[in-house]
Order: sequence, then structure tokens, then C-alpha cells
Amino acid sequence: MNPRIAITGIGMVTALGFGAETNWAAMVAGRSGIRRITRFDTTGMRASIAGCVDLPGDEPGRPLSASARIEKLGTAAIGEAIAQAGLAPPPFDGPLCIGMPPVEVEWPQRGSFGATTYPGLIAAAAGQEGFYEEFLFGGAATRMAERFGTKGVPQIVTTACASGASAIQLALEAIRRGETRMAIAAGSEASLQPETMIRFGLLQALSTRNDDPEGASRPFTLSRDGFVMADGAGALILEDEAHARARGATILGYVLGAGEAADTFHRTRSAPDGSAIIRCMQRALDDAGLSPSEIGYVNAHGTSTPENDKMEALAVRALFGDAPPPPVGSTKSMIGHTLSAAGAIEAAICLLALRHQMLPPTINQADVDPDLGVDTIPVARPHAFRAALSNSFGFGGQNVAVIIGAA
Amino acid sequence: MLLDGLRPTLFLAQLPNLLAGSISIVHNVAGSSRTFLGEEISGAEALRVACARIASATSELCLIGGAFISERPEVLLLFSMGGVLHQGPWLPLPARRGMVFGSAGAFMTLEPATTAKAPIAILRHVATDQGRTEARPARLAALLAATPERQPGCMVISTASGAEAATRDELAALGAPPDFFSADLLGHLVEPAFPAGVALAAIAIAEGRAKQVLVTGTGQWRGEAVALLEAPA
Repeated sequence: MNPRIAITGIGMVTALGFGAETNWAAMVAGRSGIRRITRFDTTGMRASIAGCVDLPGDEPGRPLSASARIEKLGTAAIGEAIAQAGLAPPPFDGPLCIGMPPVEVEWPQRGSFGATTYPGLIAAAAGQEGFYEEFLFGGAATRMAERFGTKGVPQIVTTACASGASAIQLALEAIRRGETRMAIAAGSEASLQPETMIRFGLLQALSTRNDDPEGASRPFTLSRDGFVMADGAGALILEDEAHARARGATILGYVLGAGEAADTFHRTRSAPDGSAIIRCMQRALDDAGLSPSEIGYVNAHGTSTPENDKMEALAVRALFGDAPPPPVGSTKSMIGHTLSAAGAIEAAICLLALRHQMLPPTINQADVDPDLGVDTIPVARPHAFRAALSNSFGFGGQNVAVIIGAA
Repeated sequence: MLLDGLRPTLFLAQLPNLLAGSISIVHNVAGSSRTFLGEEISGAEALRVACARIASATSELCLIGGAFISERPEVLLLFSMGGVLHQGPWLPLPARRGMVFGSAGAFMTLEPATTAKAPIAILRHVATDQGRTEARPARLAALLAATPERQPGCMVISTASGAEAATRDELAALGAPPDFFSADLLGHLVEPAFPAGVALAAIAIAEGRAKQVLVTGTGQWRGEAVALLEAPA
């Protein structure tokens, strides 16, 4: 059992809105944030729906780049968390640990140079320092780190759909090692742009239920047909408990532990026996010093793909052995899959659920897959519990589980 | 056309963490796996975090490193935008007016010094920092001042990129020219530049060329790092 770490602030932006409590109210009401994409032309794409967060700077025909959007969404979530923790204004006396996707020079920028070959493009783009700073992998997070005045090197982690949970782990470990008394753990995702939609479409990973956007993300159902991509950001302020108490901060809850396990089976599929997923959840329990029976809610990775939901339900049942598992919900049914931000957003949702002693629902449960054998929480309901498990699994065999505890 | 003409797995090659994922599969690395983003400083920060995990007994064994393939127009496009590429014929690093890339993969295994059976070198100290560029000279000076004392004959390897302002600040902080610029030997490697410099230092120690090696690095845009390696006792 390792020391628990206090959470003193959270922030959230999803397709359901800006702000953690705004999101919580929408989730408890079972609202979906999924809709048709209007920011760019989806003609010919297999999926044309998403959990879109459109920003003021997104002009018709000239949307902001993913990098610029990641920075804006992350800044909003981190700013909310810092304000709640009572730690504004800058500087912030700890590091920024953030999960985000790789970024790249996108087609609107390429097109702006009027060249049709790479040599022509490279010559025409020479000296465009604004684009260089926009599209460096370290660009967006560095600008956030400098805005909030965080210390040292921003730890920018990309472990695919586990990135947000990996960021929590990095922050947790830095505090436990005594490197810092507090840290920002965040995830920011804005990969929703034409090329990314085409790539995920190629993998046949996305739901094509385009005529029913709000019903498209339907984890654990017989008719689930893929995930729904989404924008979003989440942030948590993590703090050494004694430090939080000494400065009189309100402790909202705790990160009790985290665990990870790399799956060595396949780049995009889990080992058929679910062993790596089970191992990562067990390691999180061991790290927190908890037994499975002390977990009252599982916020599942629950992407709504046929493969994930089957494997995850199998693994959760295996973890709990002969005892019935606790309720297993997927809030991705409402906000979609925020990829690199999901781990941070969903850890914050676990905290909200613990604070409200209420389980957020998994919506669209008209045809629950009976083989999965879990209570998927079709409607929000009150629930007395002290600890929640949040799962995040990513391509590349990246599996991370985080355990959030009540204050 | 795009949806019919491309291999589905093409996308996976664009996810940076799929390098780590492939290593997990090929070499059966089943513990943690973390991929850092952020040009030069990400490689140094990955090394620092790996060392901290070993030192705090969170890990007993760690594989750290990176890879960079420079022969891609995408790479040249991004860095051309920044005006940070050297143009014209080959020049040694201090004379370059920008970066000359190389392609490489560099990885090291780290273990606790107390239990490693046959250490190649001891990684005595790793530190990183980052902030706005105007305070870069002060941060480099502070990092060097906090490095354990250098003995006479300490070899110095600089992983400077060649990007003008950052390289100038690093050389000024060092005072005397380094013994080697890794970018002269390998080309500049961006993310794995610092781990590769540390690996070269370990080789220098293993071959008996030095008993102690200081490795320095300054990101072309942001970030500074130092490491000190010593011969095993």
C-alpha cells in the first residue's frame, strides 16, 4: 500500500460543455453530446458524427488545428482545476503532467503555401516560425506550462487512449518520490480533423450509426459497432495530503493508486484471456492496498467497440472472481471517446460520482449484451461507495487503471 | 480514394507509442510503457524519470531510449518552418547555422547500481529543466552547478542540436569546448539525441577512454539537460 494523494481541484471540457459541474448535471440527466460534425466536410467518410467541442476560433472552412485546439481545451480544464484548488494566479509550484496526441502540419496549412510537391512546400514554408511552434510535439503543452508557470519540463505523455491515465501516474509517482508536493495531471484531445477521421475509419474502429448520433455510442449492447471520436480535456490537481491540509485546501478526494501492464499480444488487440487488463487492474488495487470488494464502481474504458467491451467485461468479472462485480458504466456513451484525454476526464468523473454518491449512467442500453454479465447502469442512480476504478486501454498494448477514493 | 487505397495499419505507424508497443511485443516488455513527446527534452526527461523510478525502487529494470528517422519530407517541412535547418555543405557542429539530422535508435537498460551484475557505467546524475528562452543561460548554469564535482580528465559530450541560439547558450555555459559533439558523429537525432549521447558516454567508459563523462543537451526550442556518468567502482 502506497500513500494516497489528495485531489484538490478538477476541470473538464467535453461535448457536454465547459466545467465539471456542467458536465456532471448533463451526465446525470443522461444527455448525449454526440452530433453531426459541422466543423469540416465529412463527404465520403464512413463516420460523420463525433463529440465535437467547437471553439470561437473555429471559423467555417478554416477550423483551428488540432494543436491549437488541444491548447485551448487543456487551458480551460487546467484553469478550472487550479481555480478550484485555490492556487491561482501563477506560478504553480509543481510540474505539468499531460497526456496528448501527436500533432502534425495539417492540410489547410499545407494548402496555404500553394505548392504541390514536398521540395516546393519545404521551400515555400521556410521561416514560418508560427507554424513551427504550433506543430512541434512539445509546443501546445509548453505554452500551457508557461501560461500556468509550472516547474521544470512538462511531462508530455502519449500512450494512445491511456495517455490521460498515464499522466495521473506520472504526477502520482513524482509526488510519492518527494520530487514535488503537487502536480497538474491532465489530458487534452482534439484530434477531430479530417485526416484522423479517415485513419480511424480505415481501422474500422468508428461507429457508422451516422443517422442516430445520440444513439451511436452504445457500450455493452448487442448493436455496438465502434467508438465515437470526441474532443475534450480533463485536469486534476494532485497534492501531497499533508501539503493540502497545511495550506487549508479542501480535499475533494484521493488518487488511491494506479497500475499498468503492457500487453505483449498484439498492437491493437488484447490477449484473448484478458490477462494484461486483469494485471493492470490488480496492480492498481495492490498499489492502493485495496481488495476488489472495496471497489464500488468501475468507470470502464467501455469504448462501444465489439472487442473492447467483450474483453473488458470478461476481465472485470475475472478480477472480482466469484463475487458479483460492482456496477460497470461507460460515460463514453454520452461524451464519446476523448482518446488521450479520456483517462483524465474519467478519473474526474469518478471523483464527481464519489462526491455526489451517485452513479452516472451508460445511456443507449436498449439491447444490453447478456453475455457480458455486468450491471451497466442504464439510468443514473444513488449509490453508497468509497472507491472507484477507472480503466484506460490504448493501442500499443497500453493498459492503465486508476483508483479514486472518497474524501 | 483515401478510404480504399490505404493500408489500415498505416495509421498505427503514425502513433509514437507504437514503437514502445512493438518493443513490448518483440522483447516481451510487460511492465510499464510510457512514450514522451516534445523533441530533444522529451528524451532527456524520459531518462530522468526512468532513473528516478529505479532510485525510488518503483522499477528494478528499465529500458529507456528512442528512435528518429530523419529522411522524411514531413520532418524537413516542420523544421524548415522554424528556419532551424543548416543549409549548404557539411560543417562541424560549432560552425553550423542550424541542424543537420541523422537517423538512429538508441536504448539502454538501467538497473540499481547496488544489484546490477555487470554495469557498463554508473549513471550518477541526471537533471533537466525548462522555461522561457531568455532565462536559458541561467538554467544551464544552475544545472551545471548542481552536477556532482567533475574530476580532472572528465570527458564532455555535447548533444547540442546546431540550432543557433540554443547551441550558443550551451557552449557558453560549458566554458571550454566539449570533447565531442554527438551531432558530429551521428547527426542530430532530436528525441533520442540525449539518450544517444548518454549511450556514447557509457561506451567511452566501457572502452576505458574515460573514467567520468559529462553529457549536456539543449533543446532546439526548449529544455536543458545534464547527465554525469562514472566508471563502475
